[in-house]
Amino acid sequence: MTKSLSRLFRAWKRKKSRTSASVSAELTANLTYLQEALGSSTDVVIRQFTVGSAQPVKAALAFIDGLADNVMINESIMKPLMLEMRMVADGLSKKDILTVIKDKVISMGQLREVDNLSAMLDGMLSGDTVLMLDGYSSALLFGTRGWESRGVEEPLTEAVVRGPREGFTETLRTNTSLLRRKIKNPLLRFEVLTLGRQTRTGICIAYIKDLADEKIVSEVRKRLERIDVDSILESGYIEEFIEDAPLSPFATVGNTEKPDVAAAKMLEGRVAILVDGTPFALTVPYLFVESIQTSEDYYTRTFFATLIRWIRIIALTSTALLPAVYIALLTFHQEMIPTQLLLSMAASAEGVPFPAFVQAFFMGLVFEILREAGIRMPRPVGQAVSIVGALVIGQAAVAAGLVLPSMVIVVAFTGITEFIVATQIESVTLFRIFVTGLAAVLGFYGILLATLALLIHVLTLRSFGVPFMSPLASGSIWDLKDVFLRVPKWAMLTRPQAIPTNNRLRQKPLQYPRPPSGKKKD
Amino acid sequence: MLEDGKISSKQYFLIIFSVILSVSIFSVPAPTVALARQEVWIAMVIAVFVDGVVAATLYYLGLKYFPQSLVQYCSTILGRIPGKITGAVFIWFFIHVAAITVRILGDFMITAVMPQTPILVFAVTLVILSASAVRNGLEIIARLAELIGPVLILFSLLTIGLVLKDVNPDNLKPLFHTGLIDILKASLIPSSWFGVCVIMGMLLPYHDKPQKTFVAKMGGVITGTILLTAFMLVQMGVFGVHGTASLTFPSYSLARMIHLGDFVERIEVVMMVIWLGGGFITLTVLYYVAVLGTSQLLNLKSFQPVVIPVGIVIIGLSIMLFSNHIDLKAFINKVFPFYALSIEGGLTTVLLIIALLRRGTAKKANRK
Repeated sequence: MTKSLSRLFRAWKRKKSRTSASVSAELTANLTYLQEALGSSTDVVIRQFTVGSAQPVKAALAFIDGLADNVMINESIMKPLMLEMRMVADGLSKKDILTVIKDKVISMGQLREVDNLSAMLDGMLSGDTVLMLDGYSSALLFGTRGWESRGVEEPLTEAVVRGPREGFTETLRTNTSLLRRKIKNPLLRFEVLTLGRQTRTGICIAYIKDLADEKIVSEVRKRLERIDVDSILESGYIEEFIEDAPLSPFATVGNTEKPDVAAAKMLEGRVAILVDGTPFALTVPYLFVESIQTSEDYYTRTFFATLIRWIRIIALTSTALLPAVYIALLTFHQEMIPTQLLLSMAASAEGVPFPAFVQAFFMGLVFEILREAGIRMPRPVGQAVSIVGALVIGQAAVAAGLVLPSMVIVVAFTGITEFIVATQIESVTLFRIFVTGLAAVLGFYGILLATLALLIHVLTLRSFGVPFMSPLASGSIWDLKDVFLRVPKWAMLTRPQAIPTNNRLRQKPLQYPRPPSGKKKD
Repeated sequence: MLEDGKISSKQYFLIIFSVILSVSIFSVPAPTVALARQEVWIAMVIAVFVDGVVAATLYYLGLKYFPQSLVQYCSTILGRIPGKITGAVFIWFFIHVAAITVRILGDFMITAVMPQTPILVFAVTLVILSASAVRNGLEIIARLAELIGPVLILFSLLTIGLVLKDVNPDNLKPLFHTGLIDILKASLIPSSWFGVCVIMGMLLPYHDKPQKTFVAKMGGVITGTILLTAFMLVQMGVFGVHGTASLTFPSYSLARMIHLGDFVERIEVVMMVIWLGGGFITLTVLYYVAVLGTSQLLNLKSFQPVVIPVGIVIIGLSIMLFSNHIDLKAFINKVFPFYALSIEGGLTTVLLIIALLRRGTAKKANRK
């Protein structure tokens, strides 16, 4: 087994070091290469024609149908080459044709000359159009990328009432343009690299040069360059390769679908990673407190935003601990339940044979199943699921004497609060199972143990060198201005100190709005 | 370097505060009130003063032998063999107090909350969890204290605030009727527990501003003392002197008095869980200091291999040292003050004197 694995591994290493031939001066040789490389795929278009009238030169245009923009090819490449070329080409010698085409004929913004066959092929597969001329050992690549893609729409996740509604799309170029539209600073940098041997996916590291710490940027670059895999289909593929704590239930890399969120994070000194083919951008370093911040906090008024922050904190705590507290109360500390309530609960518990933990476990399981079914089901069936779910969870289980009515309330409340802090759903669900189990065994002491274990774990986490729990533990107390509060914009003077940056101050101080100074009170 | 982490003044303050408040709240009130009666606050002031002297000693020594910790500068001051023995005594003391802490917490759980559960369950779970924090080093412990410390302050104030209405001021009279001897005797109990902050000597080299250690340490001690004294006064006000002195866990009984509206009552378990969280920090810090000291004493390159053995020793000691709660109580009230103070105060003073003498002789030697 190990032997065959190591053989596979050696083969993998060998494949990497393949060299590529250069473009041949013979047009037929290049065409054969293309045909061999691409096979007889029907979407490959190779158009052969001649250029010039006095001394016609054989030429071929190759592109991939569907990736390249047909109108652009016809109007800006074929037309000039076949019609206007005649006017200039009369007195031309064969040698100068390529230069003339490049400099005088083709009316396109993006054009580059390549002499490497594989670079040519890569360009073609990304939607560029190739022009090969007989007798020239280089080819021209025209930027004709234009394919059917989803427009910029409102994203399904991270919905807002107030704030920009545009979301990233599946096209990398569109996404970078969305960022560039938000931040018109020349220091906004996009670094592109290609990952995935099979998929050749474009990855883009986006950051603002003066704000982002150079160490973090180079660390991101280093970690991305280390990735050597077959395929990258979604940002999740690279997330798992660049995480600091790959075996933690907590994500130490953030993701967002909205350009304004990505821009805001970059303006705090973070680095964004855009991946071609997915509307989700990654942001690093990622801190725990980011999960209770949303973009809308900064668009609504400060007091309400602060209130909502607190509601999120309460929701996060209760979704993690509520079933555990309920079970601890029911199993160990009945004295804490008010007597009246205890009596009515005891009455309704009369016919229920299962212990509280078993009830909570199965109700939780049913809830998770319904949730998963709700996501995967085709839309029209979703209605049926919710009706069945409501009846099964709500009425029937109680009527049949399987669970206590109060348990239904607890599980339902837990389920709803789970969605308020959506970014932590995965970790919170896992923790809930853990803490509920311990509470069933040791009561409140079990909850304490589970919470301490959780704290010890999250306190050890780091995201690109930044402690995951800062500024809650470690770090500056002033960073709490954007955690438990959302102070007004004019008071948010500095960027978060947890994230290293060269430019600490965010704005001119003392911008508290005042009535115009010219007028005097009378 | 065994430990690369650095802790800030705030973290240092909260560590010391948690250590002062969380275990003392179980062990100090009843015996102190029994002796000092209405004058507990004088006993507490004396205890702070005693602790201040110990802290000043450790502060002076710590800065003088800066990058070295308590266990390390024992050898520098006393020479190799006596120094190692003294260091071992300190390490034994840390382990012993850690075991007593586990025992107090576990004893509290089986006495007050879960009488059917064997104490081994609590000892093992606490120490395992503590070991996982110790393995991750000082910074994690400091951050843990930074998260739990404020919660501890908040809930202590909440408990005191919510039972204030039950306080009968007559219970706090008569003032100044206890003899000085009794007050001094009583002050031994809190000062022995405050003296546990001899861990300061181990943590000082890891403070990012060692010059500020004394302020941070005394800040923690004074904050903890104020809260602890407030607790004792409120307990006396609610239960009377004799009531407080005869209760097993007066603080627990105090939390039981909380009534908020007609539906928030009997929440003492929640309060206790939070104090247990503080006790966990105490245990973890002591455990960590013992592990760090052992590896410094043995000149190890990493403290990881020592973590599990020390943990096993702590579990074993916590179970075997005392046969029951009465035994534990007798030890804490009668033996521990003298035992602890002789190490915390006595041994450090000896170190200081020898260090001063050696400096004197060194100066003379220089002059010659």
